[in-house]
Amino acid sequence: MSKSRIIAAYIFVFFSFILLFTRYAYLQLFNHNVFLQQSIDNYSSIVPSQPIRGTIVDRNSVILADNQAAYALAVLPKDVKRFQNIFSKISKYANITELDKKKYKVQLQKAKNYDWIVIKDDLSNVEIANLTAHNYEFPELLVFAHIKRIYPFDELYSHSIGYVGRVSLQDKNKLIKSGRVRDYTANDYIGKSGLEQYYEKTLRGQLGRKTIQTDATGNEVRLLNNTAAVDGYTLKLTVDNALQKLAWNLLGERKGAVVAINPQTGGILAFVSKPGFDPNWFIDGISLDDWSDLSQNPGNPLLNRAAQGTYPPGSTFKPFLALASLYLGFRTPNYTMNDPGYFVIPGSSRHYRDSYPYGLGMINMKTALIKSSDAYFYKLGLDMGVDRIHKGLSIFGLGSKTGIDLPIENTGLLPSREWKAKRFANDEYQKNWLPADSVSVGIGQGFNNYTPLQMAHAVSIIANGGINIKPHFLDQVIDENGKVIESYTVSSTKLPIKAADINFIREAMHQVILQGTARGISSGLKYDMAGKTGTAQVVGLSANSRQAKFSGSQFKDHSWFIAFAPMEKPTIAAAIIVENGGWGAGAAAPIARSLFDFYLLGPENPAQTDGQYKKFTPTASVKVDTDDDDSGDDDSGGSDDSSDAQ
Amino acid sequence: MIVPMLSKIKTFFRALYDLDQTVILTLFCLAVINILVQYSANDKMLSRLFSDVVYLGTSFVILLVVANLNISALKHIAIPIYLISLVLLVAVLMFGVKVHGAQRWLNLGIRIQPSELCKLSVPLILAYYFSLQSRGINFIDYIVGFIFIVIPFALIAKQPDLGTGILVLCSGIFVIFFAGLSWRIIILALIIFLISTPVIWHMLHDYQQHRILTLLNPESDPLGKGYHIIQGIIAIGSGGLYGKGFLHGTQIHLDFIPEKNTDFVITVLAEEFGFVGVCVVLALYLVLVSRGLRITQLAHDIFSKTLAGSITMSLMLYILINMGMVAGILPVVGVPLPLISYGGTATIVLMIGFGILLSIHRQSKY
Repeated sequence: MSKSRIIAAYIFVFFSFILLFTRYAYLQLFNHNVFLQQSIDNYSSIVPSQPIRGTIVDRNSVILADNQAAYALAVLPKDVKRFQNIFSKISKYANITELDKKKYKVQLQKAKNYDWIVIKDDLSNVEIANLTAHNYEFPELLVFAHIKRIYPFDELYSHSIGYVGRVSLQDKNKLIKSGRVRDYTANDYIGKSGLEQYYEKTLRGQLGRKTIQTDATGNEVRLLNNTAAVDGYTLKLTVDNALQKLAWNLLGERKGAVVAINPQTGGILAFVSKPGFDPNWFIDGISLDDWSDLSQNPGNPLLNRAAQGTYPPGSTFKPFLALASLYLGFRTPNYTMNDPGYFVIPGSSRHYRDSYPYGLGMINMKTALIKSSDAYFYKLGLDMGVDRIHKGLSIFGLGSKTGIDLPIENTGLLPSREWKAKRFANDEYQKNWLPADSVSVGIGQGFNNYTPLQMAHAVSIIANGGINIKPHFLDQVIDENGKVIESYTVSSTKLPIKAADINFIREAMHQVILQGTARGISSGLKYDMAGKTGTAQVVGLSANSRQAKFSGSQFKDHSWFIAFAPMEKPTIAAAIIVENGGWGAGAAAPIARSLFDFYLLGPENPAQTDGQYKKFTPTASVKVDTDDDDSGDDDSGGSDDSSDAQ
Repeated sequence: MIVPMLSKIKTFFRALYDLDQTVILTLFCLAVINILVQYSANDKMLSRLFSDVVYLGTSFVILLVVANLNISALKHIAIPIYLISLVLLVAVLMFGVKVHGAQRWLNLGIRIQPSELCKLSVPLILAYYFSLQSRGINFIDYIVGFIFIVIPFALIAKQPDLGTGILVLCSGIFVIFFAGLSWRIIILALIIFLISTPVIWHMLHDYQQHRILTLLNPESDPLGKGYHIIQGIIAIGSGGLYGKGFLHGTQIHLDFIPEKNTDFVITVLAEEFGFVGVCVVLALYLVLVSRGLRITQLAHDIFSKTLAGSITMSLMLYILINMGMVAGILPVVGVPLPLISYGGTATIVLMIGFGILLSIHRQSKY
């Protein structure tokens, strides 16, 4: 036998061992981490346990957002195949709607092996009984209980508390960015709007996780790790539910917004935007019909008028402009001028009409405010010019976000030269600030838009003597034992306004109620109240045109009222807008009177309401122009027909 | 009374001392590893471990007995054993016990697998046949030798048990190789084999084709045939350098590994003792195989040389196929890992082989 055979055998052995050695080294040394993770994934499964979402209560602990048990019929994806016509089988025992079928299909597409697919949620007692009794027909189906959000006051808080919904793909991406995605499972609820969204972290609590070791067939072998769920905290709001209800009812069938603030603390007392919508519809996905009802409703119920709707402030702008002129040292209260019933820019022939056709004669600032003289404020606007207006009014937070604890609010528009140059960049003439612009701004029209929230915030600054306090809903964060975890830290700035100036304006606003444009609400008043009416033009109409007289309600002006009371240390300040409500004293002011009576004197003094909260049924009407920066009255600023009702 | 007994014991130990110490020691080390691994692989069931130890003990006794036999005695039994093997294989095809669609076992009070016997009887008859050719082995002899191989191979393949069939085929081919078949013919045969591969492919059973396909791409069927391979690889890889610790393998103890005490036993070692454990076993195997080749080299006559060579290279083949298969680089063929898998006919046959090897070594010293 030749030696070559042995050598060949050795070579074969050598390569065989090298092959095995490198293969095992490759698996065990170079890919160890990959396979280790795979082996862990093999045996460990995580069973999440849901925390109970914190409730939301008003200042008197009335529950505004609650949790309740709901029963759902569900099936596992692996068993779905056996049910070709799952719905026809069950429809004998449960009422399955088209929406249920649609939701079921959506879930089926994204469900993982052990995610229960809900066939029908919110089963009635009869349905539960029927399904349980006939369970032998479909043993794969399960009726299980789960906790669901419920808003007991339906529409009342649709724009403040908002609603929760299932985690969507967008939510998931946001959660991934913020690193909190591990706190949620695919079917969880998450705050989608309002306070539910803003305080998501506080309300949510922490997802519990039970890690169990399972064998190859999925049987539990032992508990590896158990992190209990931590329930969410309760939010106690500054809102007064009774006042909120009253404000809602006072608006009646009209569209509009009411924002009431405690000027001493910045706490929101009432926050109504009408029409609203039922947030309960959104929790498990809204039906297409309901959605088109809401999104195509001309009343625009999805719009949060209080924080996102912007309106020209009309005459409610005047006290702020007057105070700004005093603060800047540009005018003194004694400045007197003649109001002939119109105003003319020197060197021009255009007439700006006053609401008093024959004028008020010689008036000072106080009279101008009490009587709401347009001529006085046309001149003040023109004399101050845009730069002083911008500087003087921005201290009231006008034109900037209030910083309220809501996810979305509008900035409104406090005009400036820069803003106009940008807005009309392509218009050689309009891109400059024109004297006529200042004239319109002077009476709260033209390039001048604010949210009711901004106006309420601004009037509360006058109310409390010049302290800018950030408005807020949250009062306290409370744990399940009733212990206060956190109290809202009020952030406030004392404005550099002289007390004499501010008291002058406060007194003028007091006189507005007693003898001025709002004297209609003063009868039987048991406390000292201050306020200012306003009328915001919807479109520029000629005062004498036939159109104005016969036009429908959608062309009527918006009715504004801002107020606070009592004069001595006010505890409530409010801004009210009634869309197409006509003049300020007519629609908005009585609402303030009722609210203040109720708040300051108690429920035994109801002004004109039974205190019961009524559902609002939106009626068809033409969409109202509430755009912020180019509201439909571009022409009103330059028009000689501008008028302002009392 | 005591004196003759003492002398008998003395003779026994002298006999033991005369045997190759390296092989004995290595086998002993592997037996220790076997007991550790089997304890874990059988989930600490002492009854299973006990029968494994009994098999191990028995096979060690058989080893020593065979090692002390005169090698020429094997020449006398070569033909009878070969014939018995063939008879049993035919009997399997006629009266065999069918398990999982394959008829591999014969129930003679205890269940035996005649194909295992062929792993010895085939090289034995070939070595014997070639040793008879005193004037040198010519081409006709190789043809005859090949016929000796093909008959049992065909019978085993028909059971069907292609894996064992190939191992039997190889054990015979190793004898032919060491007998000195010219390289030109070997290379020619290899070329013919490669060309005929497609033809062979079509002759394979569906499950055999599937096994090979699954090997090429285990992920194609992660819960079917590929499952075993994937889970085996996860077990091996997750062991890392030092392993998860004795009795702490999760893949093994949570039933992710099938046949963990037999064909997939290396996963137990790899998961619980890591790469270090695998290397220790590989080193022990390397010692055994090199020692076997050294014995082959030192053997005096053609019978001893070819037999020793075949036994050694068969051992190498078992190691390669088993560890390669579990690690996903070779097709899944039902081959136990020598001396680590749960004891059985295979272990006993293997130890007889080592006995023959030791006997050849003992006699080549003189």
